Amino acid sequence: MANLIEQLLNGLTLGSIYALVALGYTMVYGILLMINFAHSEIFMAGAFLGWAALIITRSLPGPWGILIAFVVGMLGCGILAVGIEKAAYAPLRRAPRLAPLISAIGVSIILQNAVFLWRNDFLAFPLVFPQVQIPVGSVQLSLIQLVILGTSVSLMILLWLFVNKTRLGQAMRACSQDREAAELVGIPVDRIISMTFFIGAVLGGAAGILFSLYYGSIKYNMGFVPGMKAFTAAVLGGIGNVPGAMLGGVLLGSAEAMGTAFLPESDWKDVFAFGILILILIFRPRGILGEKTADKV
Amino acid sequence: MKLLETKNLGMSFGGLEALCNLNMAVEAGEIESLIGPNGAGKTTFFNLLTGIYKPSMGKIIFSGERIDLDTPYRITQRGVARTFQNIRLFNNMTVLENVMVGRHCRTKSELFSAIFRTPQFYREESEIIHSARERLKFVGLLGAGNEIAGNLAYGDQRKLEIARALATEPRLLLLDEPTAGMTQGESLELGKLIQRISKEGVTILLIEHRMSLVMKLSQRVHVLDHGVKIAEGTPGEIQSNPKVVEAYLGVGGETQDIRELGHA
Amino acid sequence: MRRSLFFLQKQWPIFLVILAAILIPLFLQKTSYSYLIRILGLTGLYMIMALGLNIVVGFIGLLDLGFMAFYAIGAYSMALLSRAGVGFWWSLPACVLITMIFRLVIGAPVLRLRGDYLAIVTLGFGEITRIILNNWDSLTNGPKGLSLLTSDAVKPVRLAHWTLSTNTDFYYLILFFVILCVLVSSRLENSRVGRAWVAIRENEVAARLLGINLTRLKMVGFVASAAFAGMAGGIFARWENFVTPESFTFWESVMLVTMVVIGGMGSIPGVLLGAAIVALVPEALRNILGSEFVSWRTLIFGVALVLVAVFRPQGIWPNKRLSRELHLEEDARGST
Repeated sequence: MANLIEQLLNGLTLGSIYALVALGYTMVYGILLMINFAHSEIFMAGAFLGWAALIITRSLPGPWGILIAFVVGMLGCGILAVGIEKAAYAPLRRAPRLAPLISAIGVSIILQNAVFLWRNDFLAFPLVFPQVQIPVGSVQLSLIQLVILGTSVSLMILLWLFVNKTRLGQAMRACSQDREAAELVGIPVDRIISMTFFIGAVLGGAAGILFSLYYGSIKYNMGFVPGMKAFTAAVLGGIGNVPGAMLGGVLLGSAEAMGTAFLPESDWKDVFAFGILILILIFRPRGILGEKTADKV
Repeated sequence: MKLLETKNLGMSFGGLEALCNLNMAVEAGEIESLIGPNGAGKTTFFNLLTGIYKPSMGKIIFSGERIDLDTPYRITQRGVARTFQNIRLFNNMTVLENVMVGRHCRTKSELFSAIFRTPQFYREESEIIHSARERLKFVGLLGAGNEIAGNLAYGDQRKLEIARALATEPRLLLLDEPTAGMTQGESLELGKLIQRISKEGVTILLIEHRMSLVMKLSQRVHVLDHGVKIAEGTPGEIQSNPKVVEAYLGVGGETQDIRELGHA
Repeated sequence: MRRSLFFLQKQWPIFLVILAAILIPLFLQKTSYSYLIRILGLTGLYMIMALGLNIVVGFIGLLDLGFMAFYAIGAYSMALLSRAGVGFWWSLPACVLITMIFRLVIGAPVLRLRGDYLAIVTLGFGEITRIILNNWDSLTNGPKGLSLLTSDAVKPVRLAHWTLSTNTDFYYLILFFVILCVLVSSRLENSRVGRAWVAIRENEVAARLLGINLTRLKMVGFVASAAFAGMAGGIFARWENFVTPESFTFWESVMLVTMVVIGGMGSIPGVLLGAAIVALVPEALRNILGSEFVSWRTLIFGVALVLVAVFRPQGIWPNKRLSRELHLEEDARGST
């Protein structure tokens, strides 16, 4: 029984990371109806930026190193994402739907390979947190897991507050629902779009650092599989739906943790996630919390 | 003979009831019109007829057979064709190619004959090109065969869409606001085309706002408002029907005859 | 007869190219560049696959990111059949058939999906295929791969009294199939089926309402494209005499899409050019800049993809129809 709860907590930990990345996918899809293929590389960029920051701030005492790493990683990713949006996606807003997808794939290739050419193998991520176990109820949680859960939940709460309680958040929701109408009422849609990318990337970058803290190493292609899983989570919860992404992340993480208990082969774990994605897209493409949209004829 | 019939047809989108309890029929060989203010549910009705939407309730019967559960391509194969309010041409294919695609549902060549260029393939291609040209001639676009469809003048684009629909050999042709955006002259020309199509034996159901055209062409007019049929009858009966005038202008309007509405 | 003569008159550059293609290896063999023959052969295989993918991406307009999986299925089918003692000329059609069946089964639930979702799902299936090939050790020998040299049952590839074994032999075999595939693609393009595919790409709703069974036609396109991949995979397996899952990754699928996009979606000469560029650029890099730059090729293709998507979406050698489609969008963009 304790083992089950432990697995569940593992799942929640991983799931919260997926949720952070899923939010990036879902917010961009909500506004632009586009799957940002390059988002998984933003996740990876966060990890590498965080790594660089940790190396530089090695000598700083206490939590300063890791805090700076988070700031650098998150801000860096945000700026990177806005740059990508302006260069590779904005010109294609009115192009046929294949064009932005192809551009996104291109960006993804560029980012991955830029890192690959610099370092084509695993890179150890500094162990910032002591490997202690903290008893919570009847189970043991590692400090890292607590940090991850705490950080992601806080970030998600902040996002929720932003989207629902601020004017900018309201503008974002308006653009999501009907971009043309939003433009007509004076909302600066271009800036809102950039902001959406920025926020999604900030969360994704944070997720990248959390992921690296958990697993201890980073690699140029680390974004591919978590990115796919996060996208699955976003679709599971309802693509375009912010609470849906959070829900989807948590569900997927838990399901995967349960699955690993029974399927030891790590490769099959990925098949499991892909399988879920395919099943959802075929049988319930709007996900759990998404709405049905009718085609306009 | 009733070519098309609907029984208690209803369509809801979430909470919105777009069509309610619609009972109507179209006689074979006639030109009939469907009119009503914007938002009355006319295009929704066409979408139901062509299988794009599945009705929330009721039935649609075409030539004695129920079609409301059929897929769009099956319905077209049965003999129902339509044009669109916002023109939907294959803009980057030539005019001729657009009409050739219309012949798709009446021809059979598959992969095998295409790859091996069998005699059947050549026979069919020849037939497709020939009948496509015939349709273009019928609507008056034969000279433009090699033009890119997207480059045609607006009025010609509408004619092309009709030619393409005719290529499917429909028994019932649904025209969704074919004269929208046309000048008076262009719409009179289109009216003549519609009459010629009718003489070929095709039954026509027309959504239109140009009352002059509706009254001149139709043998029967159906009026929708807010998803409900409020009147049906000959043009004469509809013109002076107070409910119809009210639907268009609201209560207390000075006009008593909807011919005074001109075109919307 | 008159039709054929007219064809010959108009299309003489094609015959020139074919002639050059036939003569090149004979020259290369005499020089120190004979290793290029192998690369040209691989280019030919890429061309066959690009032609196949062109049906789905170019004609119909759907993004398929898992196409490599069918190359893999073709290759593994050939490997398994050959090791079971089946001769090449029997196995090759079998590979094509097997690949088409897989595509039929995998494609059926997926065809109704929207463009972006379809892209992800095809990606997913591609990955699943690779993972299965990598892990089903009893059938595929997992990551260690299957070798055709270690089994005595494998029969050599024979054509009349020739045995095909050298790179040059396979080059000519591949050249033959490339020409065949170009012919088939071209015939498909100019047929009722081809027009219906383009109609689907141009305006799906209108196509549906003209009596085109979207699901069926998309499936036909999918299955036809898989045939190309299966054939290429089968030839590759016998040429290399070795198959391993590592040759069939997601990145290879992306490379195939790159070929089609850069060359020109829907354009037969375009995708051939695209295949040649993607296959030969690494060589060019190696010779001009040095072998350490070969790994830059993927980066270069990423940049090329973005540049093409933004500035020249119709590709280098466009299909005239698509070129118009994308220019209309450019005009709309430019006028705001």
